[in-house]
Amino acid sequence: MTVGMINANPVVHERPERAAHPHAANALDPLDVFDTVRDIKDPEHPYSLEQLSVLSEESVSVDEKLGRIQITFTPTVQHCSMATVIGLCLRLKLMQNFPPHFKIDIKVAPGSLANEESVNKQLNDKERVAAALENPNLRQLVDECLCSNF
Amino acid sequence: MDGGGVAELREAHRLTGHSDRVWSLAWNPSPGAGASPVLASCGGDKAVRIWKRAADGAWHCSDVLEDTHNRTVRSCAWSPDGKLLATASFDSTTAIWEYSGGDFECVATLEGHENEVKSVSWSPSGSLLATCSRDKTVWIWEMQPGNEYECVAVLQGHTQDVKMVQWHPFLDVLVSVSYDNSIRVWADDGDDEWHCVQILTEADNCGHSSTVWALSFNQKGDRMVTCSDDRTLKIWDTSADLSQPKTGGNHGSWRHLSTLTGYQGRTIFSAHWSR
Repeated sequence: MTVGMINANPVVHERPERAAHPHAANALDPLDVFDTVRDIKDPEHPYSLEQLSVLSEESVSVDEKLGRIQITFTPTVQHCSMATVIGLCLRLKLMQNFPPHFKIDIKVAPGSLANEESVNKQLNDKERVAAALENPNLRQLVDECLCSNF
Repeated sequence: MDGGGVAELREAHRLTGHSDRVWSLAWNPSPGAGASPVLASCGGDKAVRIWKRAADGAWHCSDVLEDTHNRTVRSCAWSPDGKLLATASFDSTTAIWEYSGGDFECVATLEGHENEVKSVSWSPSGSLLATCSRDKTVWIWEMQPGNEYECVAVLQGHTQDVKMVQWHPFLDVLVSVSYDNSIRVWADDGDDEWHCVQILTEADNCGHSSTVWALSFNQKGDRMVTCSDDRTLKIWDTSADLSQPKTGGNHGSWRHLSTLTGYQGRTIFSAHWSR
């Protein structure tokens, strides 16, 4: 047993097959967004957020007309202190891959986290997010999760 | 403007130069007699830029203030006489810049906050400076001769990071707004002791239900607007003089006048009265 792990034995799922999905050339759909974030590595485990069921295709909703992307993710345990790191990873990845006019909302699934409200507030405060991404230790952790290869 | 009273906004100029998000802008209130308008901007590229309008109307960047802050410069504020510029940074410091001999020089660095400084504001006389931080405190600094700044008060009360501080336009009354959803009003009791003289909350004053991002006074100082993550603007009657809490007796208090809701679908980050 690894000492200090928040969730030492997570449930890991097979990576599903990926088929190219047909869609209109200029339209953004939830699967485009999901494809961008599904392979982000979990901060604690050598698995992707998709493999740990933190994310699924249903986690993403897109309103292209209003320019909004919303992701609702499900931390693996109720007291997951890594939830804010996962949220930062999602936000940075989306900021890097979609035009800046897209408004991004990131939330944890209702009931999935003990301190759900405070985590949601923090993840959607652009000033807190910007400051967190300037913190070298946190940034390193986030970058490691983003540059994984699954 | 048409009969419906809806103003049309057109882009007049585009100022390019910052390599990252621009977080704050400040007009120099006193660029000098006959001088053209001067604007300061700062942002995520850790730099401050000074913009001037030439005689032909074109804008250009006259100065880039860099290599002083090593993280995002979150906000900037000119002293009332327009001679000093204060810049607040996520690097936990506030820098004071003076324009002399054709150059901006960093003449003081205010250290003390534990982490990100988010906002800075000069008092109406220019003798006091307020800063606020993620460390939940508001600091008041007094300008001393020789570019020395002495911390005269560390104001504690907010339970979360403090987003912005702003002085009343002519009284030594300071307002701070916070991630804790509250608005706090601070004043000197006459013996150089600073106190919180009023707290405006959702429960007691029809206040905001989420982060309060910014505030602005009208020119007369009898109205204040605040804006919030709750997607509303709130107008407050600030005509009661809270600057002398000790001698004022029943000095009255500030109160909620109205809430403007339904106009914005997302967080309102900034609000400003016209002059």
